[in-house]
Parts: sequence; C-alpha cells; structure tokens
Amino acid sequence: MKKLTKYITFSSVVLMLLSGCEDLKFGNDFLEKSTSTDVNIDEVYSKKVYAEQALAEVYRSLPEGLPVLGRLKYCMLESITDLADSPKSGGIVDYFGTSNSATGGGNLAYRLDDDNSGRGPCSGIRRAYLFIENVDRVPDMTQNEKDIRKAEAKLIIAYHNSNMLRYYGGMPWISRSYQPQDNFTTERLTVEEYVNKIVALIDEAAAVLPWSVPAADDGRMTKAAAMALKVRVLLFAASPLFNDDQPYTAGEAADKRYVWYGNKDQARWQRALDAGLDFMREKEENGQYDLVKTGNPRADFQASHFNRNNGEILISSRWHTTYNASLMEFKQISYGVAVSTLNLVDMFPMADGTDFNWNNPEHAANPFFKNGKPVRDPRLYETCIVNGDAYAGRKAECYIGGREYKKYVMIKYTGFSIRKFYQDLTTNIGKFCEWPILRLPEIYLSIAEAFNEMGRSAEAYPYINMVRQRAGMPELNTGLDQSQLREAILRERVLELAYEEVRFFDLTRWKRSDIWKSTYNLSGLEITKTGSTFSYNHVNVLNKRNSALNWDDHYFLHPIPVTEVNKKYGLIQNPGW
Amino acid sequence: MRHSHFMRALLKWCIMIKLLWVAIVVSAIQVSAGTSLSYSQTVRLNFKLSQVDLEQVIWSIKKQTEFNFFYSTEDVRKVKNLDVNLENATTEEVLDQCLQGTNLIYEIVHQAIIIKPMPASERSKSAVPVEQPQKKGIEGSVTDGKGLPIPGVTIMIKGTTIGTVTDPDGNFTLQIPLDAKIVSFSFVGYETQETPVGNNTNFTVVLEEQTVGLEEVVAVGYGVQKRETLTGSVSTVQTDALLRSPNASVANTLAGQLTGLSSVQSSGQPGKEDPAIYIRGLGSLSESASRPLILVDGVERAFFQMDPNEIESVSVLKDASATAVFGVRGANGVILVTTRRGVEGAAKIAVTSSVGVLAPTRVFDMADSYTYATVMNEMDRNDGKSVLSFDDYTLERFRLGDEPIMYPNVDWRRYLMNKESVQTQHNINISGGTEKVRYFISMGFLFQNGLFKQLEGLDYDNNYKYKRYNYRTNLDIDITPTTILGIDIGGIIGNTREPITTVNNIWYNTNWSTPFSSPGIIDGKLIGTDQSYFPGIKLGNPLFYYYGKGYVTSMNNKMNLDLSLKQTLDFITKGLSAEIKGAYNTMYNFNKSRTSSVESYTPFYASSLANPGLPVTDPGFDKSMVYRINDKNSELGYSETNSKARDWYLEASIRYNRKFGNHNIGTLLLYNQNKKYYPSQFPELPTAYVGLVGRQTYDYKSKYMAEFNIGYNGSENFAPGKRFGIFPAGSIGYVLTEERFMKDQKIVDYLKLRASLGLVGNDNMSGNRYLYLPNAYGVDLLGSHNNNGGYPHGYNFGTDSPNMMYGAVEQRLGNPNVTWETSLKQNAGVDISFLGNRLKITADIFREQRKDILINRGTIPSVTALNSSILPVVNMGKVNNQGYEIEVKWSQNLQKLNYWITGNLSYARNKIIFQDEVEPNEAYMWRTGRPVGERFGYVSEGFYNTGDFNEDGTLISGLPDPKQPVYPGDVKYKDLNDDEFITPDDVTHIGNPNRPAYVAGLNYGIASHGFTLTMNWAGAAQRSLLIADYISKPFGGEARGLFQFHADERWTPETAETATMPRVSAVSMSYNYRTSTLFIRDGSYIRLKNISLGYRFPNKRILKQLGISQLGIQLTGYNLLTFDKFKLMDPESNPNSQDTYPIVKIYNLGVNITL
Repeated sequence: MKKLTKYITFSSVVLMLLSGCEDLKFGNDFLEKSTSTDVNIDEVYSKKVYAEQALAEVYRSLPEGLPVLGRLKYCMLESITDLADSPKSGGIVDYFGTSNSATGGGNLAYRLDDDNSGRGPCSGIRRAYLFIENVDRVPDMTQNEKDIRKAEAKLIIAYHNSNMLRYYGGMPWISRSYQPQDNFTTERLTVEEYVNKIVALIDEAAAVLPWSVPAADDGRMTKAAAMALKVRVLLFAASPLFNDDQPYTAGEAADKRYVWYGNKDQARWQRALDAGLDFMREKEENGQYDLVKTGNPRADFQASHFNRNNGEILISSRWHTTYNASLMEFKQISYGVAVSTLNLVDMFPMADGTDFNWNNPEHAANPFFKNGKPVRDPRLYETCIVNGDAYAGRKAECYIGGREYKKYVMIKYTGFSIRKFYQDLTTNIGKFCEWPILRLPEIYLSIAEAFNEMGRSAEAYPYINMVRQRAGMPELNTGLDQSQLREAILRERVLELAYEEVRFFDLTRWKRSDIWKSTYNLSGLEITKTGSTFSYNHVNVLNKRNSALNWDDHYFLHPIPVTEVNKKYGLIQNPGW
Repeated sequence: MRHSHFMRALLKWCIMIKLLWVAIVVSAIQVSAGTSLSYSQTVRLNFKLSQVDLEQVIWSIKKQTEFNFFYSTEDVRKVKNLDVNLENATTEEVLDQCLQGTNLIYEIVHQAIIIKPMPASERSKSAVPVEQPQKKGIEGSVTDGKGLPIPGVTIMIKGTTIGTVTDPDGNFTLQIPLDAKIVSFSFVGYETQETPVGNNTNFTVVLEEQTVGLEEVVAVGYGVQKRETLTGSVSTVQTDALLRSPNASVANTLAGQLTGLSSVQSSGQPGKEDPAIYIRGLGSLSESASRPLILVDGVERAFFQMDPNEIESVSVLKDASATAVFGVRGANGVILVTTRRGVEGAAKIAVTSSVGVLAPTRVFDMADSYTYATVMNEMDRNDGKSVLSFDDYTLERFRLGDEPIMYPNVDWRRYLMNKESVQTQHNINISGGTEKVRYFISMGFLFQNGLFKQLEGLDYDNNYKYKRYNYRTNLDIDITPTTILGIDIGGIIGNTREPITTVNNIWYNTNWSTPFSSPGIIDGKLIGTDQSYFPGIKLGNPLFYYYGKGYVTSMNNKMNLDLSLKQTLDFITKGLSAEIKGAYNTMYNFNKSRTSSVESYTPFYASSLANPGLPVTDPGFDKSMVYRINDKNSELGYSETNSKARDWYLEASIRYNRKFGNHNIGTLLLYNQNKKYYPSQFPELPTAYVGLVGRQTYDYKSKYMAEFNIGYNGSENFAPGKRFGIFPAGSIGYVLTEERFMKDQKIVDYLKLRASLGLVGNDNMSGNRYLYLPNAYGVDLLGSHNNNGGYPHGYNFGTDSPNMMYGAVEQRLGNPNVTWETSLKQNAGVDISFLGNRLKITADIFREQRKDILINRGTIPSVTALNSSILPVVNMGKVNNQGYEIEVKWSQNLQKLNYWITGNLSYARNKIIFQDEVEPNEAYMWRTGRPVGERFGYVSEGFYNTGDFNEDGTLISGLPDPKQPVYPGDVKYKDLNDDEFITPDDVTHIGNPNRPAYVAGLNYGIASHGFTLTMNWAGAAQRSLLIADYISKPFGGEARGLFQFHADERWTPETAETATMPRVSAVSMSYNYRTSTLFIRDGSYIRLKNISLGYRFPNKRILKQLGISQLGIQLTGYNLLTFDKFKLMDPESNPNSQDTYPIVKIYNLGVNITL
C-alpha cells in the first residue's frame, strides 16, 4: 500500500509538471472561460472612440455603384438600361426575363440581404438603430455630438428606405434593432405611408444636422444631404409609376396600394418642387455648395464626380479610398462590364448644342473629332472612351485592330467603353476618390422637372442651364412644350449623370417600357481605319436581353425574394411576380 | 531524363538499404549482449505442501507462474506422498526435488514444462531397463494464415504426453513412437489442428485463426473486451491488413476493410492524400459536423499519417453501446487506433523497405489548339457573330503546328507532369522484452516525389515532395510485480514542398489556360503569347502563375508523449486495478516561402510591331520573330510563417474484473479531462473537456451478456449550468450456441444475438466556441481593400486622409441555451459461424435519430438583418439516419494451401427531418425530407431539336416557355410544375450526395508454399458527382481553357443523336449550364484498392548464417484497377473548382527481413 501511494504521488507530480499549475482544475472549474479579448456591446458604448467606430460601420453600408460583390453579376446598374451593356457571360442577359427572378434573384440589382459583405441595406439599418439606441450611454461625448451622430445614422436609415422605395415600393418600417427571440410580423406600408415615414425621418435628421462639415469630415451626412435626399424621394414619389390613375400592373399589392398611391395628384409634384426650392433657399443662405466651375469644362466635369469635397457631391460612399486600377471594381472594366452603347453616345449633342445625327454627312464623317478637335458635348469624352481621344498618354485606338480594340473585350463589342470613374486606368492612380450617391446637378434637374410638371416650364430652364453651362454647353433652346422639355430633362440627366444610377430609376418612374423594350436591340459601332481615315459601321450589340424580349411592365419594380414572402411574416409580393 | 531520374532514386534506395543494414547489425549486437535470464530462472516459488501428489504440485506452480504443463495424468498421479517445503526456489529446483527417484523427467521450453517418462537410454543408466518402444523423428514448421511462423505452438501426439513446442522460427523436432497416429498442433487464438502421422516425417502446418476465439480481444472505448462477450457494434482491422497498402496515408487502406466506414480520397498530392472518413454515413446536417472522433491509444490525435508498422489495430466503434462512453463527442462514431507494444521474448527486429512508382490514375484531358479554335469559331457562328475569333490563318497554323512559337499547342497537364514519379518507404522496428521491461521501437521513413517536371532554367526544385519520418517507442516497465509503468513516445515529422502559385492553385490555372497561351519554356526562358494575336481570348498560362514564382516548404512536427501507470490492487480485492494516464501532444508547423519572379519573353512578328495595321497575309509582312522582355528575374525571397498547437490529456480509472462462479463482471470508472491550446477561435483561450465514464459488463457463462455504459461529459462550449450531459447506453447479448439444446447440432458453431440502445452527443460546432456568451462585438476593425475586392471594415472620412476610421461591429449574438446534438442510436446485430468456424457472418442494422443539431435559422425575416453572420445558431435541426452492415468471411486451411475471402457491405441513408427551411413554392423543392447533401437542379430532357421549332424559330406549341430565346441544341428543361414556363420553381432533387450510401469491400487472399496473394477491393454506390463551376462550361464559361469532353460531346446538328453537352454558345451559356441532370454523373465505382503478392523464402541454412530468420519480398499495388462510369477523372476526385492534384496509382516492390 505504501508503494502504491508512492507511485501515485510520483505520477501525479509528473502530470502536474506537464500540465502547468494554472490548468490543474477539475470538473466544472476546468471548463470556466477565462478572460479573453472579446468585447460586448457595453464596452463598445463605454467609449467615444468605439461608438464612432460603430457609426463608421453604419456608413460602410452606403452602396457603391461600381461592379463589386457580384451584384448584377459584376455589372453596373446602367448596363441593364439603354446606356450600356455587358457582354460578360451570365451577366445581364438573364436580368429578369429568363428565370423567375423572384426565386433565383442572384442577378438582381438590389437585394435585402448581405451578400456576405455585411453591407446590405438591412444590416445598415440595424447597425444604425443599434447606434441610435445605445449612443446615449457613452460617457465621453457631449449631448450635441450624440445628437448629430444620431441624426447621421437616421439619415442613413432614410437613405436605405429610399432605395427600397425605388426598387420595391412600400415596405415594412423597421423601427428598431430586433433580437432573435423577437416575434416579427408586419405588413407592408402603402406607398403614401412609406414616403411620409421616410420624409419625416429625413426632416428629423435635417433639423439636427449641420448644413455642411469641415473637409476632414467630408463624407458625413449633412443637412444639405438630407434636404437633397428628400428631393429625390419626393420626385420619385410624384412620378407616374406611383402617381397615376392606374397601377403599373394590377395585383394584390397594387390593390393594397403598396406599389402606387391609388390616384394621380399634382400636389405630389408640388411637394417635390417645394423640397427642391427649400434646398435652394438653404443653399442660398449657407453657401458651401456649388458646381465645380473653373472654366475648363472637361476637367470640371471630371472633378465633379471624381474629386472629394468638391462642393457638389452631397452623399457619397467610400468603398475604396484612392483610385487604384488594380482593384476588382476597376479591373472589371477590361471584362466589358459596362460597355457604352452607341445609343448613349448618340445622345450627346454637338458642341454647339445641336443634335448629333448620323444622317448628317458632316456629322457622320467626323463624329468625334475634326482636325484633332472635339466636336461633341465635352461630357461625352469624360463619360466614354472614344476613338481618337487622349488616352493613357496617346490616342485611344478603338478601331478594328487598334490597341484598345485588341486589349479590351468591351471596345471590340461596341467601339466604346466607360470612362467615367475608370478614366484611363493610369493617370490618376493614387488620387482620393469616392462614389457619388447624390450630386448637386441631379437636384437642379429634379427641380427643373418638377417645375415642368407643374406647368411652370419657364422656371425650369435656368436650372437646366446651370448644369449645361458648367459643361461649356450653350443654353437649352427655349420654347419646348411640356413633353419636349420632359424629354430634354431626361436626356440632360443622361449627359450629366450617366453611370451614376440615375437612368435606371428615370426609366422606371416614367414607366418607359418603350425604352426598356428597345434594349433588345442596342447599337454599337465598328470602326475601320484605312490609312488615316476612319469609317463607321453600325452594328447591333449581340447581347439579347431576355428581359427586353419578354418585357412586361411588372419589371418596373423588383420582386420581393420568394423566400422572404414564403417566410410568411406578412409580405405580399409585388404584382406580376 | 526520366530514366536517369528513376535511376537516381533507385541508387538512393540502395544506399538507404545499406545504411539500414548497418543499423540492424549494430543493434543486433547490442540486443544479444543484453539478453537476460530465462523465465524459469527468474521466477521464484514458495511451497509448503505435505502429502500431496505431483499433480497438486503442478497446480500450485501453475497458480504462481505462467507456465503451461504437458503431461500424462496417469504418469503424474503415480508420484504421490510428496512433501515440498521450499522458499524462493526456482522452478527447476522444485521439479528436481519432486521428480527425484521417479522415472519421469522434465523439459522447459519457454513457458512450457513438459513432463514425460525418462527415455529408455537414460533409464538404462539409472533404473531397470524396460521394454524399449520404437521411435522415429519428425520435424516441421508451423505458420499462420499469412505465412508467418508461430513460435510456441504446442505439438502433442494424441493420447500421449509426448510433445514439444515450436521455436521462435516456428520450427520443431520431436521423437515419436512408431505407432503414433495423430499429431495435434495447438496455440492460443488458433484453431487446433490434428494431422494423421502416417509416413510423414516433415510437417508443414498452417494454423487457422480463431475469429470468435475465446481469447480474442477487441479494443473498445477505454479498454478491451473479449470478442465473445462483446455486445456493441465494433469492427476491427489488424496490422497485417494495414501493411498491404503502399499508400502514404494509412487511412486509405481502411476503405473496404471495415464495415460501416466510408472513405473517399480526393487528392493525390504528396502529403495530402488523406481521405475523408465517415462512420455510418452522415448523422448530422453537414459533413463537417459528422466527422468521427479519432483516438490513438485513447488520446485524440491524428493517425492518417502514422506508419502502419506502428499500428496494432484499428477499431471502429459504431453503435451507442460502444460510443456512449465518449459522451458529448461520440455521436459520429469513434475510430480507435492502438499502437503496437512489446512482448516478452528475444528481440525481434523487422526491417521493411520498398520502392514504388506512382502514376496518375487518370489525366483530365483538355482540347488542343486546333480543336479549341474550331469549337470557338463554331460558338461564334452559333451566336451570329460576323467576325470569328480565329481567322483562317490562325486555324491553319494550329492545324499544321508549323509555327510552334507564335501558334503553340501545349497540353498543360502533360507538359507540367511526368508520367510517373517514385516513392520509397522504410521501416525498422524492434520488439521484445524481458520479464520486467517490454519494448516496441519503430522508425519509419517515407519519401514521395511529386509528378512535376523540373522545368528548365530554374535553379531550384519546383516539384511537389513529401518526406515523412515516423518514430515510436512504447515501453512497459514492471516497476513492482503489480505495477506497470508505460512510457510511449511517438512522433511524425512531415516535410512537404509545393510550388508557389500567385493565383489560386496550379490546377485552377491549368484548367483556365488555353493550349496556345505559351509554347512553354524554351532554352530556359519563359515564353508567353501576346494577347494581341488572340483578341478576346483569356489566354491564361499556368507557367505565369507558377514558373519561377518560387516554392514553399512546410515542416510539420507532431510529437506525443504518454505516461501511464497501472496498478493491480489484488491485495485489496482480487480483480481490482487502477490506472492513471497522462498524455502531452505538441505540434509545430513551420512554413518557408521562397518567392521570386522571372522574366518572360513575348514573341512578335517583326511586322506586328513595326507596322501594326499590316495584315499577316500581306506579301510584305515580315514574319521574323522579335521578343519583348517583360518583368525581371529576382532572387528567391524569403518569408516564414509558423503555427503551433499543444494539448494534454489526463485520465484516471479504476477497473474491477472478476469471475464469481458463472458470473463475470467488469466495472470501469474513469475520469478524464483535456485541454487544447491555440484553437482557431479565441486562440488565447484553450479548449477544455471533462468527462466521467462508467461501464458495467456482466455475463453469465458467456451466454447471457448485458452491458451498461454511461458518459457524463462537460464541454466548455456551453453555459455554466448547462455544460454537463449524461449519455447512457445499454446493450444485451445472447449466445445461443452456449445453450444445451444447441450443443448437439453440428451446423452452427457459434451464434450470438446483440442489441443496443443509447444516447450519444455531438458538440461539433464548426470551430465556433462560447456561443452561449452575450453578444460579441469586434472593435478596431480594419481591412485592406485588396485586388480581389476585399471588404474592409471602417470608413474613410475626409478629403485626403489615407487613414481609415476603424470599425466596430456586432459579430455574433449569443444563445445562452446552446447545447449539444443528441443522437438516439439503436443497433441490432448477429454474429454467426458455420462449418467448423470457416464461414462467419456478422450483420447489423441500425437506426439513429439526431436532434438538437445546430442550425442557422432560415425563416427569420431578412429585413431584420438578423442574418447568418450574426444570428446565433440554435439547436433545432433533426436528421434520421439508418442502414445496415453485413460481413461474410470464409476461410479454409487445406494442407498446402490456405485461403480466405471476406465480403462486406454497408448501407447508410439519412434524411433531414427539420432544418428551419422556408417553405418553397412546390413540394418537390423541399430539401427537408431528403438526404443531407443531395443535389438540386433542373431536370434535363435532352436538347431542343429542329423539330421543336416553327418556321419562324419560335417553339412549337405544347413546349414550356424557357423565358429566353432557344435554338436547336440548347437544353430542354422539364417543366415540373406544368406552369408552361421554365423557372427556378422547376428545380428539384436530381442526384445523390457525394458521400456514397453503399460502401462495399471484397478482400481475399491465398497462401501457399511461401506465396501469399491478397486483394482488397473497395466499392461505393448510390453516389453522384456533379460537374460544377467552370468545369461544366466550355471555355470555363468565358474564353478560357476547353476540356476535351466539351469538344467531344457537344451538340451539333450531326451529333444531335449522341450529344451529351449542349451546343456551344456564349449567349446561351447561363441558360444551358444551369445545374441540371446533364451534369450529374454516377459516382459509383469498384476499384482494386490494394493488391499484394508476397513470397517468403524458405528457412534455408544460408539465411540462418546471415542471421536472418525470415526474408520476404512483396509486390504491392494501389488503385491499379478501377471500374466506374465517370470516365473524365478519377471517380474519387472532385469535378469542380476544387479539382486538385490527380489521384495516383502505385506499383511497389518491397523486402522485409526479420532477424
């Protein structure tokens, strides 16, 4: 027995030495979690520095329009409109059309969930509410700081809701951060309720936010951003998609007014106009914002959407800090994800303001340059890569056999490609940039549109001309009737705001099924170089969009994902889906 | 080049063998010098007997020692009235005293004592001469079924006390009476064999193993049990079966050898050949959550890379009765590996050495340049393009191959890989022991060369490689007569070498590369085709990602140390013992990356640069070649990373095994805990487990058995108060053949019925820990926006500040109620033997109900943003799993020939009962109710043909609208819901999971005249492969590489009848290549996993003079034959973007020497 005790003692000692004393616990004590580096919500809101970090993650939910995260199979939103196309396989050909997108929604422009990036709209809303609900606990922030930061978060909530409005119509109002054990049942709001909720939240934020922020805070939400967003929301709401005698497509969701107002009311245009004029009044009083105008139209136009803190970008997102041609979103360009169509190019007038026309022999002979000088609206050359334009230190060769033609799928496809944001992938490397979510010219043109719809077209012209003037273009011809002016405004929005996610919603809110259908047959240009002269041959783009072929008006709004509807917490599918 | 390589390897091998010889000789000298006293001299006996007969003395000796006696009762009973009063006497002293003055003598051979009448010659010297019977000498050898000699076999002449035992080489000589009729050969664990003497003087006897033998023991959780009284479901395989495979991963040997175990190997990369192993299919909702627990000598450790020479047995524990003791970790089944230990006896030194040739089983074929160009032009024409991708000039170059630099044609896999490579394996192990110390020592080395060619111009080795060193020393030391100290040290050092690739892996790039992207390496220079010659084509080129990029070596050092102390406590009460065991494992991994870059050359026609517009067909076109140099050569850079892990395990147990008359009881009470450091989540906090294990076994006359097991386990993964779970299991067994009414029949030799029922747990949370803690946040988060679209946290405010503001974000919500999965397992089985135990059948059926599986809720509204990244997992999933296993063994010993055949079949099928799935639009879309991992997709009804279209190209009425323009040759999908549209609502289950439902094995062998031939076939059925990702699409979906099968099997108007792939079209790409039955292939296979032909040289004098007791050679093969329906790749590999290093077959030649 003695021996046994000795051996057991001996072996215990050996084992103790092996295991180290701090681990020598038994039973339940052995399983206790010791102190680790993890952090909980109380710690986050016990310090200003962490609370600010939480808000930074809310900002991170603001979307970027460049091809990222596989949205639209790495296309841009413009690529599904008439302005651009993507020959990339599996891309926009399948947008809507081929499959019941309500079920297999991977190709859609908008999704509620996160796409694994943690950047979805609903995550943004949740994080914003978590911030709003908890920031009051932070000891080392002043009440004023807290109020402003909360207002920023509110405006981001409003922004995400404004997108849901534009893609889906009325949606349930998320009013707080939910916990897993919460029982969630809801109904969609009517368009009217939803618009009012969004506008009320914008107003709430605008009442607290400063009109502008110092350069070091550029990118934060401001009162100007709030008021501009209100214009966008109200203009969309006033447009015929929602504001008409008939729903765009009949169905239960239409009956319940989730996807339109139920009637046509001119007061809605007035409300949009008022919001615009409120914005202008405030701008008059506080200044700070204006179009970039140094007298060099082309450079100014580039600065208007590319440079930070340029005085005209009101809401931006910053998924990348500086322009870096090797980033995924920029590399995608060479795969042809946003090829400019000839339809887009042809919209740009001659520099003197007259329309461009291929039937005009003078135009057709020198459609882009004459004697080395540009002949079109300067914005064309900043929007698209055009044959013969300055490009990476030489002239762009978009003709058959030319260097750009050989290098990029896109140019081979239509003879053009996107230049806006992408530029020439060499010159501006390392420059700080951003994605413009909302830019001052859109507000000008929205005010012009509201004036026109209110029958006050004369008052619309100055707003259009402010935009044209900066581009070095002559004033718009006066004397257009209401519908002509409407078309002119929509076209001006293309010239100024192409590739900025404006066209898609313009076509939707004006129910332009004519243009949607035309996207089945978009045009490109085959440019042949003979000696030093070029000849141009119109070709149809090869991408046959099934959505355009089988166009149905119910495509105006996105389907709510079927899995979401089938969760049966109260969502009713949009009509037609 | 290849030959010289082979010769070099052979030379290396020869040198290795020589070195091994030196080692053997040196160690042999040491061992013989250390040989200790024999057993009989060391055992000391105490006697105080009076007036007893010799038999009583013998009984007394038997009680005190381990001697076996051979005598005739008649003889010894004659010796009576003995008084033996001795203390601390040797056996010899006792026997000498007892036999003095009798006509009996004794002989001690090892642990056998033979008492026999004094031979006449002896007797004549001392006593009265009696009639001298006539005698003759016989001799012979005894081997087991595998041809290995059995020492210590008792040889008796039936009806006499004449007998002897075999020597260490299995040989014997014996003088027998002329009238002897039958010789019997017996040995523990083997069937006794009786042979007529006749005129034979030389006996070559093969003893047959007793499978349901009295003494056969099986490793079970925390102990061993007799096979006879086992009530749980356990399958076992022994060393010799593991040694037959030349594959580096011993786990690959198990395929087809163990019922209930499925093993699929998906890569042949040196050092990464380990298969995925599951027991009784998948019980949980994912493969990762269904992984079995693997224990080596009772401690959780990897065994796949162990040297098979170190392994005594592998047991697979399947039912609740066998696994309940592992409690919260046992639900997926348990694999127990037991290492070899020494037995008392002279040192036995075994050396094996082999060299093998590896070759891919199949090489995935890619189309050549001409095929590529013609198919792509066909695609352009199909899509109505006016300008084709390849002009006539290019096509002609490809067809003729006359400009191999400008218009190359390279089959990349064959360019990069040799047809074969080599591997060598060596092992030396020494086992033996004295009375007090038993040892087993093994050292192993394995070298496996990769299939890659050494490319010109590189001054370093760019091939894959694997070198593995295994070592083990297992010592058992009797520190007192009742105490055994075990010291085990084992380790694996694995060194791998891999080329570096800059993008993904080499296979990805090979598949994505076109055959004309480069002519390869010419004069040590990397040549790459210029994009301008092939506009729109994504040229790829594996060399650009691989050649000159450097290499990475990795050293993985695993070491483990076990200390155990066993104390018999017979002095307290008989049958009681206690054990304490500690284990410490460390792992250290060190990676060295040597990266570099290399210049490349782009060839141009002179005119292409000088006069870019000039067509190549122009007479003035200058075709002389100009090279442009890109990039720079750089020295090999250096960077290193390392990782480490360590864990320890502690166990203390008390056992009580005793027989009370006909009642046998066995009791186990065990406490264990373990800690693992540096886990992937919260590396600063080690993981911890504790467990309390109880087992009670009972049998009555080995006829009625009952067993109760309980695991009481705690896991740190759960909240305090919810950490401990009780996992009970009970089982019963009934041996019918022990009943009196069964004794008289001659048909069934053995019949046992068993059944078990129990609860087992699974706390596998895919690496997640502390899910019970309150909501976790991450702060100070930052990421960099990388080229592939990395998604940084934080935000960049300001105008020109390069600094991001950090982010803080909710990372996971807590679930305070989180707990383990539980599995209710039922098992019923039967073990039966017929025909003199030659035919044995074991069959089991099982049913498992798994609940509380951790799942992500699927029905939480997305608008709440409670998505899978933050949502707590909840214990809601349910899966049922059921199946059966059957094993049939036949073995027979004919005098000169011995053969056996074993067939087994296992079936396991699971069904998802609940996984919080959102209700789909159509009932056939439910994944709930289907097996885990089943494939979903469209049902293809072939292709549209011209008859399906009206004149204007629209589909004829009656066909569903695919919602997109289709043409002849596009896939015709089935409209399952009859809504006349093809939509995602037409998606249903279309194929089996990757994991086979049926696994089967057929093992047979035949041994005769020193030759042994064995084959091990493994099969899998009811299994589907899905050709997925870019492999399913021609040109990788976007002008990348083209697989030959796309070219061969594509639809064209001419091949409309036989085509299996749709027409090539970029426009219809996303329509045609949706996941559908078109890409589901039958993944069933039967393959000759291992074949082995061995020859053992007869025990000639010449061998003995060399000091060799056994010399054998063995030819083995791995994966030599495969029968399957999937012809593109090896049926075990992945036809998707996970496609990796080809699976190999091996031809191997080895020698084994025992000293």
